Parts: sequence; C-alpha cells; structure tokens
Amino acid sequence: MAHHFVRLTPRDPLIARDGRPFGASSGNRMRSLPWFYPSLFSGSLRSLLGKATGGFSTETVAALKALEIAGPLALLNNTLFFPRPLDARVFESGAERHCYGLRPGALGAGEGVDLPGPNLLPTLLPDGANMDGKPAEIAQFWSSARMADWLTRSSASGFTAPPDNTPSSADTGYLAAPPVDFRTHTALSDEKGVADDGKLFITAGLDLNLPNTADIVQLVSRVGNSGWCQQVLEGLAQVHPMGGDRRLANWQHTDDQHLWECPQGVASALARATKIRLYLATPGLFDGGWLPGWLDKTTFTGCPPGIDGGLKLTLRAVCSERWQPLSGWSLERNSWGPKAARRMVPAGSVYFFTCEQGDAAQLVPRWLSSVCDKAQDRNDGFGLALWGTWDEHKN
Amino acid sequence: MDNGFLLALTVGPVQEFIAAARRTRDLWLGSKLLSDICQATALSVHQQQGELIFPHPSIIAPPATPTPTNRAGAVANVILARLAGDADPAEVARVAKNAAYQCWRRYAEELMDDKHLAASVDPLLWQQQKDDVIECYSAWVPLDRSYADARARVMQLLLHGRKSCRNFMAASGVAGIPKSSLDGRRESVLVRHPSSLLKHNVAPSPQFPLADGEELDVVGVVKRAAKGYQAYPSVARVAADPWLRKLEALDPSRFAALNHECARLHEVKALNRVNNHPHYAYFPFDGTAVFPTRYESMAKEAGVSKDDFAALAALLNKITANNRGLGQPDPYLALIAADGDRLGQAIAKIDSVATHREFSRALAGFALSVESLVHEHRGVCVYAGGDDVLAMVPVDKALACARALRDAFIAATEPVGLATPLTLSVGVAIGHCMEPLEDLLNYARAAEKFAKVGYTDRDTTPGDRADKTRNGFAVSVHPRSGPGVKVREPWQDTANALDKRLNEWAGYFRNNLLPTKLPYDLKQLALAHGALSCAEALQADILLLLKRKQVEKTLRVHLVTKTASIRTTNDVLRLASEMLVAQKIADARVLQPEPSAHTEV
Repeated sequence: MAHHFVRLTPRDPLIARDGRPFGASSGNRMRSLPWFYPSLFSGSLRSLLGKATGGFSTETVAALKALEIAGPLALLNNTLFFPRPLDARVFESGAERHCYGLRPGALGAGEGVDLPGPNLLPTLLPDGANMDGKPAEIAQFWSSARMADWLTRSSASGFTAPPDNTPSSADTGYLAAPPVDFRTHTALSDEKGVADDGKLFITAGLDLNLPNTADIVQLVSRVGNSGWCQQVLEGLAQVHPMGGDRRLANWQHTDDQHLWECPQGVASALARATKIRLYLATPGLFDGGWLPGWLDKTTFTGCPPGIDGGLKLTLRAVCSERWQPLSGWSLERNSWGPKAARRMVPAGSVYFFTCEQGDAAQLVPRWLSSVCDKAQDRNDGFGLALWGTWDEHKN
Repeated sequence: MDNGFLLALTVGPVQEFIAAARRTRDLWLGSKLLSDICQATALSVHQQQGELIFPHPSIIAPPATPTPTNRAGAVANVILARLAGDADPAEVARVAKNAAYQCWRRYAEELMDDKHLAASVDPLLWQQQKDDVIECYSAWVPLDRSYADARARVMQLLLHGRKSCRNFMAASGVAGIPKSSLDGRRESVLVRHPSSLLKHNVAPSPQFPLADGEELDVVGVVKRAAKGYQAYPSVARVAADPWLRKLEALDPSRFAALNHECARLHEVKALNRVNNHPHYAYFPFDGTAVFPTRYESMAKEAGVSKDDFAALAALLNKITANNRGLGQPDPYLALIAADGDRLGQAIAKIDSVATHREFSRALAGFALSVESLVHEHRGVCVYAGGDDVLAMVPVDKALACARALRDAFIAATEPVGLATPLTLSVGVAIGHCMEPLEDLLNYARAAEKFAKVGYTDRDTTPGDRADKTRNGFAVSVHPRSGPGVKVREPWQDTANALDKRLNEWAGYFRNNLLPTKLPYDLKQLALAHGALSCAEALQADILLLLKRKQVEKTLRVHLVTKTASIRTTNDVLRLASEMLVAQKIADARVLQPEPSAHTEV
C-alpha cells in the first residue's frame, strides 16, 4: 500500500469541541478539548478529498472511509511531538524536580489490589522515590527524541525531569498544551441585520502559535490508500476547514516518510527485548473498553493487529487515566447527527507486556500503526502505537 | 497476619459529581451524593469490624440530632481502615464497594418513584447508564512493619498503582441523541421529541427545572432532581444578600412588599423558595428575583409566563428609582475554596493508628463545623470533606469567612500535636452571578491554587519562592468586562495582614474617603517611575498624589505610614491591586451603623 503524507498548517485557532451540545437552543458556549481527536482530523481530510474527487456517492464514501489515515500528530520545526507518557511521574522537592518511571511491581506476602485480572500487577514508583506532595505538572508534549529515550530506558534514573506545562521552547524537547482562544460573537437578526439581543455565544479554539515566537505547531498525518484518489493526494495544496466554525487551515502533501519510521535505538532495543511497552500516541478504542480485544479476556495474552502471528504478548500492567468520551457529528447522509458516545483510553497510556513467544522485532514495522480492534477505528487514526521496553525497578 | 491489615479504598468519579454543574443544586447534590456514597462505603468497612482510621467513625455515625436534609457533604473519597488478622481484605473491599454501588442505585431508583420523572427519561438508556457510573478501587497490606511504612505503601504506592489501571467497559452509546450538557460524557436520557431525536420532549417544571435545550445524562438527572426537589440557594441569592439586607434596613415597607410579591410568585410556582437556610429566612426566595434581566429565562425554566413577573419588575423599579443610598443590587458573590497544606507530609510522619485516628477526628470536627461557620457569614457550604472546603458567601462577608475558616482549621488540628503545625490555604474568587457556574468554580480553584503557590516564573530561587508557597490567602476579582485582579499573601496574625488591609481600604472607598480612580493613578505612577525608581521618590510621589486627590489630611498621614514598606514599583502595583479588590468588596458593603438583625455588629 502506498503512503502519502499530509501536513496541516492552521490559519486560525482550530475548534475541537467536546461532546456538549452547542447551538441556538442548546448552549451558547463551546468547550474545547485539550487536543484534536483523530476522527476530527480524518473526517475533515475525507471531506476535502470527497469534494476534490467529485462528491459523496455511496461508493466514494465507502472508499473514503477505507483510507487509512494515521494522525494527527504535532510537528514543530520538523520535530514530531507526542502526548506525554502516563508512566512518567515528577515530584518537586524545593526547587528540584525528580522524574520517576512507573513499572509493574510485585506484591509482597499478604498484599493485594483489586485489579481486573489475577496476574495483573500495579504500576509502582521505585523504592526511595521522593514522593512529597502531589505529582507535579509535566509538559504535555514530548519530542520524538525524548520519547525514544524514555521508551528504551529500563528505568527513569538519569532522565532529566521534564519542565512543567508552561510555554517553553521546543529546543528543550518539550511543548506545553496549546492555549485556548475564546471569542465572543453575537447572532445577527435576520430582519434588521443588527446584533440579536441576548444571542451572544462564545467559541473556543486551540491556538497553535507558539507564544512570543513566529513558530507554529503543525499537524501531520500519514494516509495509506491503494491507488484511489492518489492524484488528488499527490497534488494536495489547498485551504480547507477543519473542526468547528469552519476555521481554516492549509493542507499540503509533503514528503514526511522519515517522521514515521521507528528510531534505530528503539528498533535495536526491541530486537532483544522480552519486556515490551506499548504507548498510545493517539487515544485507543478497544472492544473491551480498557482492554484491547486482541487480548484474551482471561489470560490477557494475544498478538497485536498487523503481526503475522508468531508473537505472543501477555499483559502485565497498565498505566492510564480515566476514560475519555468520544462524541462527534456524522455528516453521512444516512446517519447525519450526533454519533454514539464511545469511551477511549487516553493518549499517553502505557501497556506493559511480557513477550512469551516470537521476536519483538516484528513490532518495528508496526511503529505508529494502530492497535485498535475495529478496522474503521484503525482507519480513523485511533490507537497509534509506539513500542518500547521496560524492566522492573531494581530495589 | 498477626497484626492485621491496612485497607485503603478510593471512590469516584469525583469530577462528574462535583465539577459538572449548571445550577448550584447540581453542585451541592453532586457533592452530597459523593459524600453519601463514601459514607456508605466507610460504614460498610466499619460494620465488617474494620477499625476506621480515615474518615473518623464520628463522621459516619448517624448524628444524634437529625440534620437538615441539605447538609453539605463531609466525607472525603478516600477510606483507610485497619482490619483484624483473620479478616479477608479482598472480601471486605468487595462488600464495601457493593455498598457504594447500592447507595448510588438507591439515589437513582428513588427518582423513578416520581411519575413525572419516570416519564421524563428513556428507561433503557437510564438502566444502561445507571449501572456504569461508580468507580471504586482498593489495596491492602499486612501490618507487619511500622504503621508509617505500611500506610505509605498502601496509600502512596499500591492504591495509586491500582488506580493507574482504570478498567472500564466499552460504552453502549446510541447514535442520534445529543450528549449531556453538563459534561458531554454520555447521551442524554431525556425522552426524545416525536419529530426529532435532537430535541427532548420534557416540559420543565419546578420539580425538574431545565434550561432551554438542556440535556442531562443519568448523573445529571440525579443531581438535578434527587431527594425530592428542594431549591438550593442559587449564586444569585448569595450575591443579592447584601442588597437585601440594605433594603430591609433602609426601606422596611418596600422590603415587606418585595417579600409579599415573591411569596405570590412562589404560590404560582414561578419562583423557588429556599429552605433549610435560616439566615435566608428573612427573604426565603431565589435571589434572581432582584435581577430583572433574568426574568425571561426564569419563566422559561419554571414553565410559566414571563407576564407573571411584571408586578415584581414594577416594584423593583420603584425600589431602585427611589434611591436612598441603596442603588442596584450588585450581582457579584464570593466563592471560597480552601485546602489544608502538606497534609500528605504531615500524615507520613504519623507513626501509629491511634494518632492517625485522632488526626482524622480533628479533620472530622473541622469538616462538621464548617457549615455552621459559613452560615454565620451568611453563605452556603457546598462541601467540607476532610480539609477541603468549597463555599459561596456574600462579598461583604468573604474576608471574615476566609479568616474564620483558617482559624477553625488551626484550632481543630492543633491539639493533635503534629510535629509541624498545619495550615490552611484559602482562595476567594469574586465573580458575577451570571457567569456559568463552571467558570465560577474554576475561578475559585485558581484562587486556591494561587493561595497555595503564589510565586511566578520570575521567582527563580528557592529563597524567592519560600514565602510564596502554602499557608496563603488570596483574593481574585473577575469582572464581566475588563481585566481581573488578584492579590496574595501568607496568612498573618497582625493588624496589617492582607485581609485586614483589604477591609480597611474597602471602608475608605465605601465612605468615599478615597477616590475610585486612585488605584489607576497608582498604576500610572508606577509606570512613570519604571524599574529605576528609589523608595524615597516613590513614597514622596504617593504622598503628592494623595494631596492632589484631596485626600483628607489625617487619612493621608495614616496612609503614608501604612505604605512605608513600599520600596519598588512592584510594591506600588501591588497596592493598586489591593485597592481594586477592596473596591469590589466596598460595592457590597452595608452602610454602618445598620439597624438590622442580619448584619454583624
């Protein structure tokens, strides 16, 4: 399958609404998500391609939905950035910040936790970790180099603590979450052409301009297709809306293949690894809610999608946060309206596996491929995986 | 396990219960609901012979005297207990979790006894969502090491490690139906309109108020209507309180007429009555009654005609037109968020179950005292769980209430004899009652955070930051237009503490002894001086400014003494900020002396 690469440069703050109703009779205030969900990006790109190829017949819609769109990922100055890994914890002690990695930890005699499987382990901080107070804030996006470093460290010792989530230079390898840009508008009276009394509404968009610089965060994606609309993709260079309020962005075909390849250091580490970390670069959608459907419900053993067998992984622990709701608005003719609510495993979540059988090097070509269960979710860009290694804390 | 076990449980979802809210009732009932669920969980552990360490049993025991049905929640969402050596911790946790689920289900199922409500929701969606709300996690360790080590292991390592794996079921959502307006996490359960799935088909009523187009999921409906609908004081009622007190003092006959008209509107179900808050008994109605711009939406929500409000609007016009120093009602209120400082570190040093239980007893005592303390300051307590407080108070009582909370916390925890005495950081956010409740809550939490950590990026060294963390008092003002302003200082017990200064400045502004433009002139003065100014020049210019503004001589001399510590332009800007905050407090001040039973003497 041929891969194309599409880069989006925002012209305006882009709107990624949460699921709360918004409109003339259902709420006059938007709430922004902290980052773009994959379906928002892939839906906008499919609309663009559909218009460019002459409409939305049933066949075209089916072909558009079959496009494998991976993304969106943040890009700044040709460096890819990923959501912070949830197995990283920082504690502050005076002016110092200490960074620790959470790892599956064995329970002592008589100890217990009510995990959803008998062989699952809690993820623990190392003994002697300085845990004064609550965990500190961490920069929301890590560069690909930082992530590669993090994913190949058996422990976090020696890993310089990331800064907090305040605007920082990308040179440090960290990015803060984009600020939300609020704008107050008023509806206009159809009859008088003036502001309608009591019809104020507020929009909220993510501003991807880096404060106090000329830099802007772009969104990148990889599109896999089997020849359909290849010409349109190759010639792609146009302005098209993404998200709410028809905010505009520039969409462009680029040669970004190198961004999507597994770093050599990670590939080498995986080649001899028996303990594997799966990190979700975009939110995951699984048949079992928190549990990927490709894992057996009782033994938690299985093989990720796209691997030709011979690899057998057993889940040992999970480091995640509470589920996130996925909503959305379908523009398809026969299902126009709100999509059914779904629950996602947040981006940044980490699944710890042991490799029971096969060579973990088979995962290298699956770098930044989806591990979701449903084909459509994989095509929409959910559950893009990075792979790494881990080891128990040496206490 | 000869020495028994330590069992820790945590109950949620916290955010869904206490953050997603449009009306104060959503917020209060969500907090109470979470508190009740945690209480049921703790009670179950207690009934299984668990020795509760946190919360203290005194807070979960049925009170000797019946409490009002609207008592604020007071049980935090973490439970720690010691179990006997022959206990099965996994089974105790399982039964306790079941008690949590049952408590939630009772709330939801009682609602369905109301025919109107039962007809308002889709039974299938209701059932699906109802059984998939509560989250409860547990961990346990044997007490085969020191108590401090065992507690740290179970609370800081295993329970957190357990919570890292947030197991959940895939959603069973339904396409075509809008999501909840409160947080968008689930589909609305309201029955759909025959013509379109996008609209619900529920007529709002006093028992089940709904804003135009508002959608609610199972959690939203429970928060809005559980326990038999009783109106909870709205943000508008809290905001209106100073004005109502002034009206009662200055124009008793019109105040009586206002009460009479509101009682009539209550009769026709157009206006809610506020019960169980004795300090609001002198005007026991929703405060929105004194804000005419809200009448149209009030009528819509209550499902009545807006013409019902015509007489009230005319009466208010007369009251405010015949201005006897009363003016328009000020639509601002204060939200207070407070949190104990470094409790984790204090608890880490506790080396016995007995001491920890004493500590929990002290926290329980504080939590139980908060509600009456807030009522004394004419406010409303949303929750007081452990060391965590959220309350709404009239602007003119905010400073006194904040200090009273801090004093009560210290008084409650001091007798425990911890190595380091505990402190309470308190944030006060003053905001407009028409702001979305979600925003007001965010202001309050930001103020609390600012009280806890007051340093900025400019404070780079530990020395710079040392006196700007914890034990803080902060006030922020959020006008509906224009920039906000905030001030912070560590708590002090001197006459020159921040709250005392704000009180003093507010008094001068209230009595027109200082010109309202003074804070802006001080800002200009600071800008004119720039970074190179010296202390003497600044103080001389401040004195000159006060003279030019024709501030009375005695006060001028006093102010010069009060501001003798000013050294830099930042100090001047800070003084300007304090005065801007004080002006907002002055707006709500009651003229003194006031012949009313409802104000402090």
